[in-house]
Amino acid sequence: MANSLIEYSNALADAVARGGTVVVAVHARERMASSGVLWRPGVVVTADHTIKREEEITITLPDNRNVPAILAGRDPGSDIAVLKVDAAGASAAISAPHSSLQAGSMALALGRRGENGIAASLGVVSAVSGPWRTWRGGQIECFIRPDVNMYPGLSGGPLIDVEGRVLGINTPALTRNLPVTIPAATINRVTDELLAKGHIARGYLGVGLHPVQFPDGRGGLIILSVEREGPAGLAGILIGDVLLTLDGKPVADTEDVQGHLAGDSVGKAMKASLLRGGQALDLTITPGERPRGGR
Amino acid sequence: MFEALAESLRRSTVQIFGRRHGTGSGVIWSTGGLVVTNAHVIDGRDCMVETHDGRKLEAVLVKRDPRRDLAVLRVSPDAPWHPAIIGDSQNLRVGQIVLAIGNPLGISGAVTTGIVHATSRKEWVQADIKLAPGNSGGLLADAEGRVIGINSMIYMGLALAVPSHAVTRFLARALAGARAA
Repeated sequence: MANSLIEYSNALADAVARGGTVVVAVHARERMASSGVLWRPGVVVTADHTIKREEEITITLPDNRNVPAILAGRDPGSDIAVLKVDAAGASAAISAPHSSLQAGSMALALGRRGENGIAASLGVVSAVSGPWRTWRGGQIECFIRPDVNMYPGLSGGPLIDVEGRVLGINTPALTRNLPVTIPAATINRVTDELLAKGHIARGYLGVGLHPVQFPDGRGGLIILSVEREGPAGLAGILIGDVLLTLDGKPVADTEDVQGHLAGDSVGKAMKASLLRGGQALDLTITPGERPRGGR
Repeated sequence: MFEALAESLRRSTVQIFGRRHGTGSGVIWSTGGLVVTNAHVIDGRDCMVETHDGRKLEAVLVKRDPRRDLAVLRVSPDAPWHPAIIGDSQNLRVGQIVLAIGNPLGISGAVTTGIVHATSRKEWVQADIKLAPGNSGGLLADAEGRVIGINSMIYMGLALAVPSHAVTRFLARALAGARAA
């Protein structure tokens, strides 16, 4: 048993060493640096909430070089920010296959603190489940909760498996109290879009909504406000209408509506069924792109 | 999987009654009866040491260094006395397994496990391991059961231990001073 413990100890240290080759420190806030991952050659991904300034950002690479970084884009919805760096010679993350994600698997959270080297904490993947939407409206492909201590400075760093492969990046900012890991699939999708456009497009209708329930138990959303030049306003929706379905699917709360307003909804007409003065009414709405900076 | 290691390290761990309130832990450092602990565990010159098997021994303070938070005591051990094996705290790897043995909250010989968190600060071994106040002065060991540090404080959830090489240096100074005096 003693020997296997030593082997286990060496294996963990090896995993940290391997995973650590893609972990950087991100200097974009006062006091303590956050962490990031060399996701692709010349591309660093970190937790967006740790970016407190958009200029004069520097990165400490695994070989302790300090290099300037350009903010390529940020998505508060999924708490992902993408930075471009000149990191010739540095490696890029190898992400673990989706199938290897399993509750109970050993995992390590890594971070880098300036030039002071790698930092690690050990735990397990605590829970894995399906897609979810963050409180800021970002779509995440898979819910991953790590059971690891998130010490200061580890935000934006990777969760790795015992092979040293990256499972995603850790952030404490998307859920109350406990951290979550943003999976590689989400990072890949958001990174592609941020590199191409600099932001994540989200659809919007330009209405204020409130859930209502009819005596027969059916739910809907009453229109409380309409932007005159917004997509709903242009479609002819009025205050007081009750929205029942979008694309044929019932909508009973604002979450249901958000589900129809992913980035690819922009510019695609959809059918809306409403009640106006007790009469059924069908309209066609074309979601616009949510103005940046707004919610 | 840590049972055998924990059992042998427990033999090298003592409980120290050195303050009016609460207890700390200590590490049996030498066959000659030296026990190393934290300075903040000891109030006066004399204290009591209790071995893992419940023997109570009188101890005399040899040297106390509050700045480094280290103290060394001398006892006259009667029968079984199990000095710890001292490891190399200068070549630690982030991620390697560590064990702590101590008497947190009065529970004697409690074991916790974790890993080396970072090696960025030469003056501390930083460990991702759960400690409680009574762990003070107790040992932090590697996967081979060699002592690499003396647990001293908890900082933002992180365990900080005085590296064993710093303890060795402290002992060399303390014992030289004791002989001269």
